Amino acid sequence: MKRWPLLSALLVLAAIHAAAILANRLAPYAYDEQNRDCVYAPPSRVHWDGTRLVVYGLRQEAGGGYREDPTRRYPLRFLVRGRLVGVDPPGTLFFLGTDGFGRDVFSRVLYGGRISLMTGLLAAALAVGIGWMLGTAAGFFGGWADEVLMRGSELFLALPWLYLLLAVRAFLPLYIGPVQAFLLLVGIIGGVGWVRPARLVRGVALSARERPFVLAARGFGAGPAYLLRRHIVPFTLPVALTQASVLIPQYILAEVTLSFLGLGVGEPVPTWGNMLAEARRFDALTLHPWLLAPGLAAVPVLLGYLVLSDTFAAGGSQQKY
Amino acid sequence: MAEPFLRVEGLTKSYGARAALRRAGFVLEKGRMLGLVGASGSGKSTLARCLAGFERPDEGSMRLDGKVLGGQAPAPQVQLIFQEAAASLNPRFRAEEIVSEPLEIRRRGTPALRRKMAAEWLEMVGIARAASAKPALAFSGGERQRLAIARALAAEPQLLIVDESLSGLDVMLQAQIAALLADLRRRLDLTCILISHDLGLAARLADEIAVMDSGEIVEHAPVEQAMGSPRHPRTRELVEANRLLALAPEGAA
Amino acid sequence: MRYVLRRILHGSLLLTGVSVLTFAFTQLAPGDYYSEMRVDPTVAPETVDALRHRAGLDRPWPVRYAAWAGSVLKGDFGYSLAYGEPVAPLVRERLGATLLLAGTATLAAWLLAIPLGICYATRRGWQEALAGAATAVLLIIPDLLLALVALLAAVETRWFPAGGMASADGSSMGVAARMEDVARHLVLPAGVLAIGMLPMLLRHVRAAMRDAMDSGFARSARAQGIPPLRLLVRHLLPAAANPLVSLFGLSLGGLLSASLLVEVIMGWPGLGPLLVDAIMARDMAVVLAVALLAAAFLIVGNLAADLLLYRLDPRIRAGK
Repeated sequence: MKRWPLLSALLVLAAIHAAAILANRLAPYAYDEQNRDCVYAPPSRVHWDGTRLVVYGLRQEAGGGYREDPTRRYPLRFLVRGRLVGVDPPGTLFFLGTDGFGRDVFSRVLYGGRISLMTGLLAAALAVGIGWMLGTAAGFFGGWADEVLMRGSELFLALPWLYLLLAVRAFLPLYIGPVQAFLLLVGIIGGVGWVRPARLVRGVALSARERPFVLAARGFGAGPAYLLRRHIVPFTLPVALTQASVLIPQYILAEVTLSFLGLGVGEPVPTWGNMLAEARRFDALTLHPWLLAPGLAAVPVLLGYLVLSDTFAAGGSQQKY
Repeated sequence: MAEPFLRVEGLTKSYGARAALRRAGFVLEKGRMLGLVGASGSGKSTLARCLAGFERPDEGSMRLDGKVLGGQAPAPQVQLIFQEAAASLNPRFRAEEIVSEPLEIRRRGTPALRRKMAAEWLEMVGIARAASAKPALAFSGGERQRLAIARALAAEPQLLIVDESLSGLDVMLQAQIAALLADLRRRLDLTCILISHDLGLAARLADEIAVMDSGEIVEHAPVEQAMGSPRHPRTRELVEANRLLALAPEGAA
Repeated sequence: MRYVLRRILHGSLLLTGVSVLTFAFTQLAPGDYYSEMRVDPTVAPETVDALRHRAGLDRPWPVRYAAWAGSVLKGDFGYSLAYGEPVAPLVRERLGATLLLAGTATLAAWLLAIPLGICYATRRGWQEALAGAATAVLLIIPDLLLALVALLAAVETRWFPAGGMASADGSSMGVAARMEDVARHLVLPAGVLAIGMLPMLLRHVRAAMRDAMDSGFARSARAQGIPPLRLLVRHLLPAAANPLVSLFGLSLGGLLSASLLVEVIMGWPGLGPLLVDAIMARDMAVVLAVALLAAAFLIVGNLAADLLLYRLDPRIRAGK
C-alpha cells in the first residue's frame, strides 16, 4: 500500500505544528514588537557577501517605499538572544515583510499559528468527543435518547454553519481579552460542531447493535457495558477518527474566519485570521501583498489534513464485513 | 413418568397479523437429537429464537431441566447457532477471542485460563491451535461454522440448537460439520435440535423428527417411524420429496 | 401527497423551533443596543430606561417572543435600532442580493461540475491523477484567501470592479445598462464562490458517476453494446441523480456560509455584511431576522431537494 503520501502529510503537519509551538525560538521578533521606522517594509532580501549571509540596511524613500542600502550591512546571527536567527539592530530581518505597525509578519505568522492551529485541534477534540459519546449512547440505547438526539441535532443543522457560529457569537460579550476569546472560540466552534460526528457515530452504533454477533453475545448473557466496550466502540472509533481529520481543518478555518471578522481573538495577539483582516483594505493589499502570508500558511496545513482524511476514508471503505 | 428434559407447550407467537407459532409443543429427552423440519415460514426459526430467549412467546411455556425458560434476557443454557454463522462472528475478533467470549462475559477464570480453554474447544472442532490468533475474516466459511459451534459449546449449554447452518454449505462441508456434530453429541452427551428444511439431512443425524407446518408441530416421531410410515400429509410430502432427490435409496445412510 | 405534507409540517416545526431558540438566545445576550449608551456619562440613566421602554426591551421574554412571532408572521420583522428603519425591507433587499450571488454561483458551479466530473470519472491513468491533483489544489485553498486574491487581481488588472454590487452612478443608467453593471460586479464574487464549491462538487459527481458505472445494470448495458452517449444520458445520469440531489441539499448550508464570507470581503451587499454589522452594533432585531431567514432558506432548500428526490427515485416512493 502506498504509504508515502500519508507519511509526508504527517511530516508536514508535524513540522508546521512544531514551528508554531517553537515560535518563541524560531521567530526573529516578538509578536508585538513594533518597528515604527519600518512600517509596511517589504520582505528582506538575504545576500551572500562571500563569507556570510547579510541583509542590507533599509532606507525610506519619499513616497513611502523602501530601498536597500548596500553600504550598511548586517550579518545574520544564529542562536542569539534565545532565537534561532536574527540581526543586530538597527539592521532588520523581515522574512515576510512588516505590517502597518512595523511588526514582523513572519514572526507573527509563527505565533499566530499557535492560536489558529490549537483552536482547530481543541475545538475538533471537543466536537468529536461530545459527538462520539452522545452518538454511541443514542445509537446503542435507542429509544427516547435517540429521538432527543436526532430532533435536537436537527435544530443545529437548520442554520448554515457560519450563520450559526455568528449567531451564537452575537449573544456573547463582544470585547473580551485574548485568552477568553480563545476559550470562547474553542467552546462555540466545538459546541455547535458536535452534531455531525454524533449523527455519523450514531448510525454506526445502530447498525453494529443489530449485527448477529451482538445478538450472540447477548445470548451469552452480555450486558450493555460489555457490548459497548467489546463490540460497539471498536466500530465507532474509525468513524470518529475520520471525522476528526475532516473537522480539524474546518475548525482552523472557522477560527480564521471569526478572527478575520473581528469576532475572535483580537489585537495584539496574532492569529492568521486577524492578521488577514489587515489585508481587507485592498489599497493596503495591492501595495503590500505579503500581508496574505497567513492565508498561504494555512494551505499546507489543509493539504496535510486532506491527505489524512482521504486516507482514513479510503481505509474505512476497504473494510469488508 | 419422569419430567422430560425439555418440555414445550402451547407456544404461540404472532407478528402483527401473521401467526408464526400456533400452540406448538413437543418434548425431548436428555441426550437426544431432534430434527425439526418444515417448509420456510413454518415457524422453525421462531421456535428456535423463543427457546434461545431472543423472542418472547405470546403464550405457552418452555421448561428445560425443570426450570422455566423465556425470562427477560436470553438464557445461556440454550445456545443457538445462527443460520448465517459467519455473520454471527465479529470479523475483527481473533478465533480464540470468539470462542472464549462466553467465558469472558461471565468472567470465568483469568485471561490465560480462558485462552487455554478456548484452544481446547477449537481443537475439538478441528481448528488448529496455531490458527487461534487469526481474525475471523481469515477463516473460510466452513471454518467459521466451526468457530460458531466452538463458541456455543464454550458456553456449556444444556440445549444446542443448530438453525439451518448446514443448509448453505456445499456437500463436502455439510458432511464434515455433520460428522463433527455427531461426534460432539456423543462425547458431550449434548441435547440438540437440528433445524433444517432438508429432511434427509435431519434424518441422518437425528434420533427423532418433528415436522412443522404453519406454526404447529404436526408430527413428532422417531426417525425410522417418520421416514418409514409417516402419518401426517405434510410429512408424507416431505418424505416423498426427499426420496425423489435422494442420491441413495433409503436405508443406505 | 402525504409525504409532501409531512415534510412541510416537519419543516415548519423546525423553523418554529429555531425561532424560539434564537429568540431565547438573544435574551441571554448581556447588554443590548443601549448598553453603550448606559456607560456614557453624558446620558442620564432615566433617558436610557425610557429609550429601552419605548423600544419594548423591558418586557418578559415569552411576551416579547409572542409579539415578535406574531408580527413576523405578518411580515414585520421589527425595527432596526442601528439603521433606524424597519428590519423587513432592509433584510429583503439584502436577501435578494444574496440570492442573486448564491444562485449564480451555484448555477455556474454545477454547470461546470457535471461535465467536468463526468470527464474525471471516465479518465484513467495520468489524466485521472492530474484531475485529482487539480481538484485537491482547489480544495485546499481557503475561500478567504481566494476572495482576497481575487480582490487583489481586480484592483491590479482593472478588468472587474473591486467590490460592491453596482457603480456609484448607477441610478442614472437605463435598466439594461444597470443590469449589465450589476452583472459586471457579480462576476468576481460569483466566480470566487463557484471556484470554492467546485472541487467538492467534482469529487462527488465523480464518485456518483463511478458508482453508477460500476453497477450491474450499467455493465450489462455496456455489454449489450449501447452507445456511450445514450448510456450516459438514459442510464448513468439518472442513477447518479439520487446522490447528487442529496448533495445539493447538503451543500446549501456550506453555500450560504461561503457566500457570507465572500460578501463581506468583496463588499457585496447581501445578508452577510448585514449580519456582521448587526452583531457589532448589538442590533438583535436584525441578527434574529437574518438568522431566521438563513434557516428558512436552508429548510426550504432541503425540503425542495427531498421532494425532488421523492419524485425522482421510485424506491423512496415504494418504501413509504
